[in-house]
Amino acid sequence: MAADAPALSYTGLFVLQALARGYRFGFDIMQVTGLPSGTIYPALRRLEAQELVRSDWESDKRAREKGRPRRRYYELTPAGRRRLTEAETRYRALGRLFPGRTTT
Amino acid sequence: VRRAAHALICLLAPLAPRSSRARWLEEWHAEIDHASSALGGRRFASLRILRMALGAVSDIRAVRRLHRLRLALPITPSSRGSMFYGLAQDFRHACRVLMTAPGFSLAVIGSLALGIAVNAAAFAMVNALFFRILPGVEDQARLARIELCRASRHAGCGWLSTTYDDYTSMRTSVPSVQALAARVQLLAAARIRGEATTLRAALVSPNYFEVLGARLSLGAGFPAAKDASGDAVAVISHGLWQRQFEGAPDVLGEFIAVGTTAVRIVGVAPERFLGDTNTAITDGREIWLPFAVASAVLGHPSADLSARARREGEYAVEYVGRLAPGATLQQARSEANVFAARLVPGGTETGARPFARVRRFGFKDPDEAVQAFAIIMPLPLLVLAIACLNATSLLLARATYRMRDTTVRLALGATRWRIVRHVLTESLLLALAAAAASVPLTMWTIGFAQPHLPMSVPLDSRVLGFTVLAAAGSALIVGLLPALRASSRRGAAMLGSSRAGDTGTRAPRLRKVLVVIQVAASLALLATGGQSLSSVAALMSETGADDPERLLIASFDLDKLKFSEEEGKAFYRQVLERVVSMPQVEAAGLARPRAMWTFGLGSGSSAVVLWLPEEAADKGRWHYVGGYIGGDVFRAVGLKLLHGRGFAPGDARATPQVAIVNQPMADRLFSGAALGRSIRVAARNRHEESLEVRIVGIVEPTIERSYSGAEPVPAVYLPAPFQYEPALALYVRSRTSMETLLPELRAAVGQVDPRVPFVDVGTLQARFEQRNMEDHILASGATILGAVALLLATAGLYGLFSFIVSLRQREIGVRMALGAEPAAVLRLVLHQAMSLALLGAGIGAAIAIVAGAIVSAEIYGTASIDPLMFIASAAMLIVAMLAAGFVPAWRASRVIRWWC
Repeated sequence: MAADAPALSYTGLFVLQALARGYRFGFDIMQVTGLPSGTIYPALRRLEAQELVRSDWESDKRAREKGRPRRRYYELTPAGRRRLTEAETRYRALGRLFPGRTTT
Repeated sequence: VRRAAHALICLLAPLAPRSSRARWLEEWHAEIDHASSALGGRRFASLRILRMALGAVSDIRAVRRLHRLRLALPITPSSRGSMFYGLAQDFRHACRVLMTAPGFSLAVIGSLALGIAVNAAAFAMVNALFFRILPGVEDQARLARIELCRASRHAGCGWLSTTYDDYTSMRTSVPSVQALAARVQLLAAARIRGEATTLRAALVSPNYFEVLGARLSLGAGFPAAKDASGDAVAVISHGLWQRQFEGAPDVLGEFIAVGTTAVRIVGVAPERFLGDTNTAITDGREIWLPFAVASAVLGHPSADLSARARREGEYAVEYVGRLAPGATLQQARSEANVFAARLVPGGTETGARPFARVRRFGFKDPDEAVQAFAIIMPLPLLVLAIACLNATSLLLARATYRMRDTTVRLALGATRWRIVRHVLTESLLLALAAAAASVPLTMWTIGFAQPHLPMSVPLDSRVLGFTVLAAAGSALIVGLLPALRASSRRGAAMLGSSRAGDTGTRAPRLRKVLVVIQVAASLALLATGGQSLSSVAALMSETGADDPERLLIASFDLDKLKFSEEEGKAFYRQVLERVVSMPQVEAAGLARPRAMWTFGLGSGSSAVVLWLPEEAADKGRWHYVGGYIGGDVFRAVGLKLLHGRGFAPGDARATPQVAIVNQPMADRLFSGAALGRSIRVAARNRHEESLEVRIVGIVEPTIERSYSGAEPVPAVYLPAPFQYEPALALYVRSRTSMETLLPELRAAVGQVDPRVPFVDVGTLQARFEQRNMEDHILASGATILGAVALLLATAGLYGLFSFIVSLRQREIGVRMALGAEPAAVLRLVLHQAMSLALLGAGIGAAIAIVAGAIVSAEIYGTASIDPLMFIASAAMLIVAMLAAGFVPAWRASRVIRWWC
């Protein structure tokens, strides 16, 4: 499957990497990768279409408690995790790009 | 800001596919909230939030694209392989690349902006000359000027004198013209708030402002009247309102004295409005009066426009009409011709029938426009060419830097066109930025030059169009050479070398040639400009008078106020008495305004007809300047008596008995031995009333420069006028500066009669400057352009050598490591720079000498080179070039320090 999957761009890799480190919202990924919003969100859409990433919506209840709109958060699919591992073995430096994130 | 970001998202939302729109909106709202809470304390938080929200634009494109993919819809028709595929990409790339090299971009933009601004300003002048733009006039294209002509000797149109009655009948006789206005231009003596002044006045029909479509700044204008009878009212110009009334809004209803009547101000014209004229030299002191007050402001007491006296060339009524919708110029012409023929049924004295000329306002004669273009545009275009050379050499330098980049792209399969297009996109972007930067520069230049120009120079769409065109043209010129060079290097070897041009100085040879051309062109321009400037200065310095700065000429015209002969004589006598007794006045006298110099009018201002008594009256009539001289004009002007005596008080009888001629006149009439001889003189056009006068003195001549060179003016002076002259000028030689003399002179005249204004007042110097203004503007324009060109050439040389030094860093480093002294390196680079500069200067000098000789021979009649001006320009160039070469050379000599 990996052979005929569309090539992963650097941006895509960065996003996967950031998601793997626990950054789950578009804005957080923007902040940690330093890429502009106009790059991050389209990349998320693409990755989701390739099923490397899936998204989920925050529960209504929690959003109401905090008094804000529901957030959509992203996470890696198993396929995404595999692609990331492949890429990380090819590009060793990639793993050291961003610090990990402990809280959500 | 947060609200603005949310609003932006809401605006974009309709673009999202319907199925995912709600979720897309929800996600973005949440993200923006998230961003604003996270960014809250950071600097420029609001900007960051906005920037993030802008990302939604790309996001929505991605969402749409994926949506189409999912539904297997065609995305966008693929244009890969088409000529313009990826143009937007090129554009974005060019933007990014230029942002990363701001110094380079600013240098290119700066030089192009200078070049474009100079051209746009020059074009604005040509535009104003050619299209005769009338400020404050609406829909100029539908206006037509109608001239009624009598066949004249010199073909074309001789003025057919018409009356106000003719105007009223023409209004109904030319149906193609829906509204017709009439104007008579003249000078009027006015008194405004106690101050006497001369105004450029126009007698106009009441519908004048409506026909021109001018919206008055203040007031309602003339009350609609069907005929010439009406109130004594006036519309004043914006400039007059600002200066004489300090822009007071309550000026309406105020009375001012014009001629012998008082008129009520009923309007203020729009700013810069000059009626249907644009070429008059004016200081903005204008007034428009209805024909009703004609008899009060016209000079001769008998003159009355409503009387049906058709004296040839008495007062020129000019007609301006607005064409009816759908009517053509041709229709108006034939109707006006019929009308003109009816005007003088029997034909004029030559027997020919009068005819009409109907012309559009917009265009001047195309020939004149071409001439104006040919005179004004070449030098600015040369400067633009230099600026383009400059930009080209900078871009070439950059192309060399980016050689690797280009080679990789070519190796990966980019077509040559793609590379060319990329470089062209970059240069276009630079040129457009330069065009934008040039607009304020152009405005500043025009604002600076406007007070010295005889017409108003607006910045209209044509000028802006020209700016864009000039920018596009220069983008092509600037980009083409670097583009072709960049795309031609197909060698894979390029990939291997660490930096192109390492091998030596062969690479920038083309740029060296460019610099030589630049230096040569700018020296040629600078020296030629300086040359013409000194020629013009010489033109003004030869007047025959002593110290033209201290000779004041103030003219009066008492006809404007309808003084009687006795009043006039008394006025002049008292003024002269008062002026002579002023302590700072060395000498003063009275004479006709153009008795000493014609100021370019030539024989048109001659006053005396002269012949020898033994000749028949109808033979050998010559017109000469001169005429009546009262007081001590010769001493005031500084003309020395060569032979004989000056006028004594006893000479001033009712009719002249004696005369003084100047040396060239004596030479012409009697080969110099003129003293004691008799001549016959008469007033112009009154040959039958001639007098025989005896020559009692010979004076030095005044000198007038014409296109054929400086020439002494033959003249004859008389101690008394043939008949009373209402218009005379005061010639005053001052001991002090004019600034202190002028107010006192004004006060002295005011004490004699507060109603009388100066028609014209100024030093001889100022008058000659005004007369030669055109030459002066052109010459100083050329010098300024030369200086701009020099600046550009200096920048070019600096850029080239900085680049060469950076290319040779390694070589220089090796030389220094092997023991070369910094001084030797300095010498090496400086020698290279200066040899280019001197080569350019040599070529430029040759061009300048030839051009200077041609210019001065063609225009000023002498083929002399002013060596001082020439050496000054050359020295300026060498110093500038030395500075441009030294900085890179000095940096080169310190290469080793950067390395270690």
